[in-house]
Amino acid sequence: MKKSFARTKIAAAVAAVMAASASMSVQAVNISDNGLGEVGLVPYYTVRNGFDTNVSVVNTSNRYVAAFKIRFREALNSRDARDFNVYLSPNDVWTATISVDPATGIPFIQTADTTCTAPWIGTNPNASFVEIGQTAEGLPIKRMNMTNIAWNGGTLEGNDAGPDGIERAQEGYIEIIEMGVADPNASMLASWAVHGPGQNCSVLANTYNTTAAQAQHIFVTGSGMNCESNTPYLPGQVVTGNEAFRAEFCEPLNILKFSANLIQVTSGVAAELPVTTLANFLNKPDGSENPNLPDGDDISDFPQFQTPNLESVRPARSLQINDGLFVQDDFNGIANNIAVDAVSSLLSSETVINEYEFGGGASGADFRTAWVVTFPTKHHYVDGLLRAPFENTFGVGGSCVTVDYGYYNREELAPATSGAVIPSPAPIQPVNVSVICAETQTLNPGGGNLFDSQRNYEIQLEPGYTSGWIRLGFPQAGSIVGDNGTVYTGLPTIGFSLKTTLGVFGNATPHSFERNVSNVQSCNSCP
Amino acid sequence: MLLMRPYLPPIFLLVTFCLTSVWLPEFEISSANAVESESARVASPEQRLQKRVEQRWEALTERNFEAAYAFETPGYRKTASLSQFQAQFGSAVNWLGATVRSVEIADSGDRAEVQVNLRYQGRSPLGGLYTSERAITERWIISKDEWWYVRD
Repeated sequence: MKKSFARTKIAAAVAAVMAASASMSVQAVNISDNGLGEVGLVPYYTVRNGFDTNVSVVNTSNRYVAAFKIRFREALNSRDARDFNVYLSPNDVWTATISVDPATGIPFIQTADTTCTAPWIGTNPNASFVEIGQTAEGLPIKRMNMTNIAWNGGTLEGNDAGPDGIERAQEGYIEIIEMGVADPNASMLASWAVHGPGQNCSVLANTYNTTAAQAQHIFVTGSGMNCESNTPYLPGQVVTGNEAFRAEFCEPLNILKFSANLIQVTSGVAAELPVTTLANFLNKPDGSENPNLPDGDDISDFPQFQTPNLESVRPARSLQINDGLFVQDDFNGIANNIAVDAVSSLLSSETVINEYEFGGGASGADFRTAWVVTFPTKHHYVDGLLRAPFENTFGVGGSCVTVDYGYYNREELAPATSGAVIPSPAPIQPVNVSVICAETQTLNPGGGNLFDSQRNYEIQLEPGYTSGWIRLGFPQAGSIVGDNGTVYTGLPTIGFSLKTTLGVFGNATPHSFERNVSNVQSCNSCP
Repeated sequence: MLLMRPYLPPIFLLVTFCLTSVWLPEFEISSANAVESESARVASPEQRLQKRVEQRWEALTERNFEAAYAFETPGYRKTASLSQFQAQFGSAVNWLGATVRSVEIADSGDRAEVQVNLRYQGRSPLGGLYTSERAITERWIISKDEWWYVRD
């Protein structure tokens, strides 16, 4: 396995410049190093096999209202099963549960949270939240259904080659994208999101209603925040619809914390899920950001729009540490790249590594393991087109990528050398070549289907291999190339391994990844 | 040859398991099964099964795992102790109650699928509880004139 990032003097010099650039607040999207950020990627949600999935988002700012888009993408092709906007007041937490309707099998999002959303409460569960009851504290319990219209031809996106049914929505992953912040002391629109006597979620949500007779107009306030220098919005101007939000909100800040868990309601066991957090997803074109006073445009959009998404990253620039050195790159099309490459470059992985435990141990316990492997940007490369690093356009059965895998037991024995004594570290011995074809799938070492997933694969293990670790490789993965020639080889991947013992879930362990970043040439973004 | 392949349909394993279960040679009726005489008085097999399902969930709702254990197949109880059984349950859910929606007994008469609406409180990732309800499917087998819960 090639690791071609050499520690040359040039590279060291580049790293020094990169470090300097980072300290100069020239920001690029990066994997958050402190758990706070602007984008959260929850690698798996499911309502199958008795599971509920819960998600929560914290606004850690004590000053700003934070607006974010939450989107539930189905597992096969990442089509949109539901998305909507949420408006967190300062220091607020929003929680929701993804579960399934007993009678119809339609997944839904349910919340008793008092945080504002758009859409707000209505009468049609396929178009808004509807009130279905009250909590013991008297708070309304609201529910909104997921939908299959994004893959059965019901949207402009059109049909895809996969099945049309709602079952596709029963598992997938979640992307949460902060759209902007606003100071409720300066913005009337933002003040409607703040808990208290001034909260008015209905009016806030209705601001998106541009139907003339029902339109909710606002007067642009703008005082205290000066982030719309490139737009025509002026204080006192009357605006409505998304323009109102664009006028009143500024660029996102790294203030959101994301959490999620799975609960199997029949057994009462739970597992906390690792969430991949991206920081600096959206900054001014020059990449600068004042964490205390946002001064760039936001990316607010209508609740019914499928934007923003991971392609909305701006500037299209990523920053990561590879082999101890900073790597920063732009993706402005010079090397035939696209903006979402900035996100993909951060997650690009040649291999995925995690542990397994399977079968009866000495105690007679029943160990089982399920891996979740999610490619959160894959649809930008395969849905109706084909771009590297992926191998196949989405079609009937999905968009398959080639995988191989090798494994060890806990005493570093691999199947090909079982019984032998080998030096450590031992070269991995791929034992097979096959494919996985969805955007989110589960892989069960040793067999089974812990999540009752529709996108499940079995990783077969030779007898006697009941615990150890596995390296899953993507041998046919292509590369993303940055504007300055840096090559990121592998597939953008997130996920975790969940081990159970006697039905009791342990912690979900995030995957480890081997990355291949090579040909670092220069630092064309550095000042 | 080692292969990574799509998973076999669960129904295949279910059928295999069910058939295996009903042929377990050493069935014994546990003395802990205190509801036997009551259920025997109920007229139809469906009603008897519904009663068993409800009683099992009453036990779980009260977190009376000893009582719930008595509904497991004798074969299971021979391989898993009460403490092992109890270890399968976590504390992330408070069960509030269960309602049987439907009982469907196979033509062979020795196994059934039961649709249950389960009401519960679950734990959110950052704390706090949410209340919900969802449908679950349970599988039961009959042996020596009694229904037993089958775990997947």
